[in-house]
Amino acid sequence: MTIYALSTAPGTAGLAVIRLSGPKALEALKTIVKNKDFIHSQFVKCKFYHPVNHKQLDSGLAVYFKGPRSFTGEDVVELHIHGGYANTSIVLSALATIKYLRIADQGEFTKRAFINDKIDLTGIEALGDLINSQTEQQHEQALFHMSGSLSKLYLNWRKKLIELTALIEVELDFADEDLPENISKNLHIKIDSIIEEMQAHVNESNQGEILREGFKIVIIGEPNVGKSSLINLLAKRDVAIVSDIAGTTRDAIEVNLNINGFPVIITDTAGLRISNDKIEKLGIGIALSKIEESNAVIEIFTDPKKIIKKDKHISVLNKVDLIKINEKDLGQTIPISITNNIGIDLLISRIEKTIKNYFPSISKTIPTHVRYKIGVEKIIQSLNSAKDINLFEAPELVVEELRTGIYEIGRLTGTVDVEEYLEVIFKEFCIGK
Amino acid sequence: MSVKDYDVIVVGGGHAGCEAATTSARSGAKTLLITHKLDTIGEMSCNPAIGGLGKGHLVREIDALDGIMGRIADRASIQYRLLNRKKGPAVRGPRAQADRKLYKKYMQQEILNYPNLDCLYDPVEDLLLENQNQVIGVTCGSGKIINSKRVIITTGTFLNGIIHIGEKQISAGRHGDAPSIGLAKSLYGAGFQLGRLKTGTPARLDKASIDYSVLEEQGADEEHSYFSFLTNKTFNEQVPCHITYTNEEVHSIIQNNLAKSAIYSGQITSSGPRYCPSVEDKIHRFADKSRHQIFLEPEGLDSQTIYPNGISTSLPESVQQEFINKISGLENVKIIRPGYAIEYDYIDPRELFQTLETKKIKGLYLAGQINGTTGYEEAAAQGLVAGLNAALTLKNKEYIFKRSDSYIGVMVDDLTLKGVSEPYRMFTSRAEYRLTLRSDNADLRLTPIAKELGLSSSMRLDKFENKVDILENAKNILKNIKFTPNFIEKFDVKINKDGKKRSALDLLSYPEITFSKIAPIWSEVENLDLSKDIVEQIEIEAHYKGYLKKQNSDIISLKRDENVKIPSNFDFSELSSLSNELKEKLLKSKPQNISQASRIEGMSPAAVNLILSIIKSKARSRKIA
Repeated sequence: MTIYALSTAPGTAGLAVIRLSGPKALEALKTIVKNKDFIHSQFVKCKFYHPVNHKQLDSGLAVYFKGPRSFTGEDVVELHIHGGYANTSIVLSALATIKYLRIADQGEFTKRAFINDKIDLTGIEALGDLINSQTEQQHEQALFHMSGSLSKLYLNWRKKLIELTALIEVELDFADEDLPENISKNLHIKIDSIIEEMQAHVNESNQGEILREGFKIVIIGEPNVGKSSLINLLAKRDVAIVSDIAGTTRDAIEVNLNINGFPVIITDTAGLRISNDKIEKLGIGIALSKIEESNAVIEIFTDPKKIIKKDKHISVLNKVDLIKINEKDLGQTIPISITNNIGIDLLISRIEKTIKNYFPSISKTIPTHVRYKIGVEKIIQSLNSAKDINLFEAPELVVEELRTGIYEIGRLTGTVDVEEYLEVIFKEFCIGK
Repeated sequence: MSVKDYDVIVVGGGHAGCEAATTSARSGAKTLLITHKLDTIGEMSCNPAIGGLGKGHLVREIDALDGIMGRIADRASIQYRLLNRKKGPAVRGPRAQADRKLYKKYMQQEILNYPNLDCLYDPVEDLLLENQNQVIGVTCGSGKIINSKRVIITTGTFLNGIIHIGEKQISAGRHGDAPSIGLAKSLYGAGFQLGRLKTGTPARLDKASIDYSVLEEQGADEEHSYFSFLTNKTFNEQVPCHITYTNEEVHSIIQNNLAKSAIYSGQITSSGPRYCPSVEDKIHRFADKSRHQIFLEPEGLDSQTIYPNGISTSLPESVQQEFINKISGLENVKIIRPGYAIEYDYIDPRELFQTLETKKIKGLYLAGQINGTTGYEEAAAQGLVAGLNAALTLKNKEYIFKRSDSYIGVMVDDLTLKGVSEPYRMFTSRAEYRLTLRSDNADLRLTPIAKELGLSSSMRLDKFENKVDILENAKNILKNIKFTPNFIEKFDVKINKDGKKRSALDLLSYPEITFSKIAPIWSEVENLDLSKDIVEQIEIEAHYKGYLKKQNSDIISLKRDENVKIPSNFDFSELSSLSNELKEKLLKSKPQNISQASRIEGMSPAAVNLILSIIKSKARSRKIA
């Protein structure tokens, strides 16, 4: 079946793109335009006509991608038309009159691309991330992954493990042959170097999570030191753009910001103090667990004498317009006044610095999904077991562990049974329309 | 003219044919084996050895199903060796040098005296078909017509077989055998997909002309690992093989004459096995290797012929003589028969169901080298599958061996699903459940199946069931003995002092702890007085315990996928969203269940899911209708 759908967001816009994919995509195009010649990947200026009553619908551009050199691997046609509800729905309902076309299911274009090996699991996830990305850094990482940087890394490991396995297999299956001695020597060194690469990759998963979920900052401090005022102020500053990621309102008040391209979640908490009030106690409990989860903490003081410097904390002294301070006593503490907007730029640049410390350099292959991390950890486990086995007495068990590792990589890139993930993946992202 | 009818006819008396005929007869089908002449039954046409890695596993499996190859090989063995003896039990492969004459003698004796089995010596000239899609019998060279609805063809390399010796070409099957043109014609006429392969043999040497004094000797193992679970003694004197090597001088002679080799002159274009290259290939492709090993294998106790394994060639006779005489120990050797390469057509095994029945012609089964395989053991195992399933159709049944139950299952699945691009040979690495599919437990895996299928003699069953009883009893006793780390320490057995109680069976899973070490600790264990093979079985199972458990859970999920059948009328071309390349592969292999579909190269899980969802939606709409 050839499928079609509006690929851009519906609504008022200058342009809209409708995508068709399937064996009859070109045929369908030719029934709504008078142009005859379409060359692979070249735009053609067209007038679009209704296939039944031949009334002109719109004018714009059409481009034809001959399979397999297309997104889905099938013949693909894109109609670049004018946007807006009325115009797009007129063209879509005209396409609906073509018998062999059917409206695409959710995610169907991507599904076809996957089936035709145009994109693997890491690529699909990256595509979902790309479309859902809110900040520049998320976008960049998704682009890397979509271009296959992650699957390249994984397939390279797979290749290395298959090569190592083969070296042992040859001595098992061809024991009666005149083989060179010590084919599988240095096995441990080779395994170690793969483990090392994998471990470095797993270690980056912290960064990956930050890129996906956001850099978590918690504002703490005694009651009435200005925590809520600070979060309100940060939310309104142009430099910190409030993003609109859904589900931000939780028990603790959260604001999503984009600082320097990184997603940042700032959480306001209940004031920390010893209390007998039940509800307030609960709030304090939440605050403590937020601190536990956070990547950084902003602690607000109003009394310079009470400042205690902690490692993870950015300490801030508020209401500096009302008190006298001794610069020497401040140290790393940032003096601000929320009401008078003093020192806020300094605070933001400190936050930027803190985030940068987490990302000394951004690798192209950060494991952005938890399943990558878990998968690679499993492989490392198998490789470590492989090393523990005596290669001379039980080479077949060494192979067994390596085979498990190879199988696990397949689960990440999607070359073996991954049914359970597929369901989730195709459900999770809404693309292709 | 018509003689009496048979349930099953087997054409060919090689390894596939013998096993097919006896299995069919054993399954209760009235069976006829037809071959040119009695003398060719049980011929070992290539090297005089049976078994090895993967292959030895196949022989044990055939034996566990009460097949004949293992017993005959034991009768003919003149040198037992267990390959990989020092490595883990899963990769140990029993192997034997066989006396060619003895093998043939005992095989013929077996065939001629096999109940329910007749033999006929007459070339089969034609296959008789009804509606071009159902076998009804064969016509023989003598004009005899024999009716049967099931015919198993096991005729090896006879399809368009051409022998190459240098520039000389001879049309033939095996050396000296006339190719049967009529039968070939009817197979070609059926429109099967064909491929072309090559294989080669070395020159045969005169034993008396070899100077053994300068050669390395390799003898039999001290302890003999028999093929058959019924064999309990060594029948023949054990003799050594000798080892020599090629050298630079040999290499330069071959290099200088490459153009005269059929393989290099362009005369042969088909692909040969990568794991068994001709000596020309070895020298050309591995030019940096200064010598190649040659095994001088005796063809029999009283035979004057030596088979020099490792120098198969299609060079002209004179060049063969010249380079062989430069080899240490072979300076004055006489060539009895020159080596040659043979090219032949095979039928793409994707034309077959897993029963080895062809998809195009009902009642026609193919087994052995005709399916693109190589090796006696591979051939015999296919013969067993075809013979069994041809006979089972009389009861409207079939039996499909699975990747999870046997190497036989691995092979049949590989062949029928993926086809072959070089002569197919069994390796242990082909088996994903290698730790489970061991040669030591072939009987535990398969004899119960033989019992269920009515394949096994009562003598074998009695012996087997007795063994299982002893084994289970011993394992139970070991399982029920519990002790603490402190207790066992007194006996100089070191384990983690974690206070946890362990069983005596658990103890055996520690690499250094053997049965003989722990038996004296408990009198009830010592009193078991177990035989060596039972002890070994207990130790192996304990040793692999963790891995076997994991494989077992993998096998369960495999079986789940195998149980999702793809209907035989499933239209793969209907899957519009699959690439044409993948569609073509599916159309060729026609996977019969989801597990097979997922193993086709290039198959993505999404594509598998697509097939799955179509099967499910069809099943649903059938239910509604």
